[in-house]
Amino acid sequence: MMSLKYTVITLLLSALHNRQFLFFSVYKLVMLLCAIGLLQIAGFPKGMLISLLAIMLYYVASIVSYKYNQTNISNIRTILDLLLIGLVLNQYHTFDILSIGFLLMPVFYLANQCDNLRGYVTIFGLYVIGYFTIPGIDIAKLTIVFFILACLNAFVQYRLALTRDIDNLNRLIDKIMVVNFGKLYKIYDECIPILNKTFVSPQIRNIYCFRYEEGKFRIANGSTPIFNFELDTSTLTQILRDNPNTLHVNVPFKVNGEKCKHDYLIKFKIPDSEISYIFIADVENSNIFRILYQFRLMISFLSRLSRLLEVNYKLRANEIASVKEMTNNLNYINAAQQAMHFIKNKLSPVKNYFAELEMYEKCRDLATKERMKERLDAEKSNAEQSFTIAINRANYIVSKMYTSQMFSEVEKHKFIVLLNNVRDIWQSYGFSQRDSEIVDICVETPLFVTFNRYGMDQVLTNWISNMNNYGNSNSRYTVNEDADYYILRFINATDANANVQAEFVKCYNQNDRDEIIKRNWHGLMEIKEALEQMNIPNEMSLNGIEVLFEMRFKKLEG
Amino acid sequence: MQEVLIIENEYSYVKGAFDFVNEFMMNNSLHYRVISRSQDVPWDDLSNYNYIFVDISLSQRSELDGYGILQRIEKEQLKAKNIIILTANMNIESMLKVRGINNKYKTLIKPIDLNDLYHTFENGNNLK
Repeated sequence: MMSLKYTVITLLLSALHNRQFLFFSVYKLVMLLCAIGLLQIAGFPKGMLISLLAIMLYYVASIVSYKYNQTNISNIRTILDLLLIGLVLNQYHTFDILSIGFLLMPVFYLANQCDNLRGYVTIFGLYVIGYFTIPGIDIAKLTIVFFILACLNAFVQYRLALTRDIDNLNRLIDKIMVVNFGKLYKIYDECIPILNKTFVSPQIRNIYCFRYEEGKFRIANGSTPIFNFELDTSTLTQILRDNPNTLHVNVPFKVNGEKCKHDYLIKFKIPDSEISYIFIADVENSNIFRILYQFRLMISFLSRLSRLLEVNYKLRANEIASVKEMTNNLNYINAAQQAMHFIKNKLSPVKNYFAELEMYEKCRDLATKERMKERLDAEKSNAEQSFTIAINRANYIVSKMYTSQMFSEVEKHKFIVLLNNVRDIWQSYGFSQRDSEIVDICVETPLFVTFNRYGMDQVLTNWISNMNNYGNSNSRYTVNEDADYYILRFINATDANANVQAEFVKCYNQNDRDEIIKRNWHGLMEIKEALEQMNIPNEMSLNGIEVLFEMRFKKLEG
Repeated sequence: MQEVLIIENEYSYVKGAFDFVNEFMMNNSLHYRVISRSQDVPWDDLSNYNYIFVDISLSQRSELDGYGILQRIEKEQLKAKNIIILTANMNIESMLKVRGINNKYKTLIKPIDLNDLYHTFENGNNLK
């Protein structure tokens, strides 16, 4: 009983969320009511109850079979359709050839399995059969019935064509996401032929895409490169502003110096942005049905494409922001490289002085030695001067190095952001998250923590890489909390020598010889320095043969 | 007397080495002409010099850097004997390739070693 209840609820919810399913359900209900009406008119008092039960069964079965649309179920659906029609015909005792033809029509004409022409041939065939086989048939009524059937067929074919074209276009989106996400403009080369294949579409030559920001169009991409464009927005602005999703025909558009005569603009509003597409066609698109069909056809495709464009745009913006952030560090590296060249140049007199000194000491000829002495004194003065300049430059670079607090600017993030970072990096090194993560925190009131995104990436990458290199399959991490802190603890189970591990932990926790430790444990010191800059308390300890590395993140209110 | 052209904007730092080699190792047989800008290079008379030292990073006022000077010599097929590159860059060979400079040149890495400089002159026209 309960399962029936849940099935009904599921079906109702599905109906609410799925317009097509709702439409189908209503359609079946209307058919059912008509069938009951027909049976009553025909008079069927004894079998009424059985008929009603059969029809109810039919109704539920057809709805379920529609919901779980599978080949074998759809066959059952067809059989049920035939049974219903058969039942109705049986009440009327009208088993003539036309009735049987209608009865079998779903078998040899299934709208979603045959082309447009076959549908019309089937309908016309039945019309001819009816005309020649039923004596005294009312031709006018027969013609009207078949005309309605032909219209219905046309409507079904239209819907099928639309669905097929939309599917084809949407498949392109899936393909571009996998193959060419960074080159979204390539989608136009593939979608234009599909659009041009549709029976109502004019020949589209090019598609150009723009972001609509603050009343201005900014180039996003296009089927051909856009070097320059002119778009007279004076007449469009009001329309564009008032209508989030709009279509406008024959917009005054000029691209790469060429004035476009037959074009139309479609604009979409998506979260955070508005995207416009201008379609350049070879012929004028004045037919309202064509325009509506195209709008209907492209709306889901372009809407999805717009979201992809927006994601791509934001990723690019993030990349640029990252590069800007890296520029300071690159400048420093550049300055350091130049300083090394400078210092090498300035060391020439020093090197020269020692070489001359050596020759002076080896020289046995007093007169030559005397001359050498004068030169040596001069070179000594040069060497001292150069040495001072070189040292000053070295000091400058070193002092910049020690004052560069790359990760000291921290931002507030939800704790889950940090946890997801840990998970991403953990999994990128081939560790399984399911077996190696233990999270024990109150998930109902997640708080915020502070860290620098790049600094934290450096810490996690360095440390997890270390675990990957030296740890074994028991390596894991835990997340828990106390009153003030979230505690992230990595447990590195290694097979290394216990003395080496002890030395490793001791080196990390010592604060008075970092510069010496850095020579052998550079990565370790990078972790320590980054955490210090972000002001994140941390500690390393030994638990038997396991190295524990703990970071504590202060809990903050949102 | 052998003519030596030195294209170097910070000659003061290598002067000691050049002078010492000339006076005590080459018996003052070298005559140096020092310039710091590419505009002063005697393009038509390069063949008159037995040795041409080219520093890679020249002064701000120079129109061409050391690479540019070598490129011009190769492009115009100017006759020049014994070209020696002066640089602090250890990776100079690949940098030359990147700039399309195909000939092999002897290179003196800064800070210059006195003996290397002497051997440069001693080997004369057999430089590699």
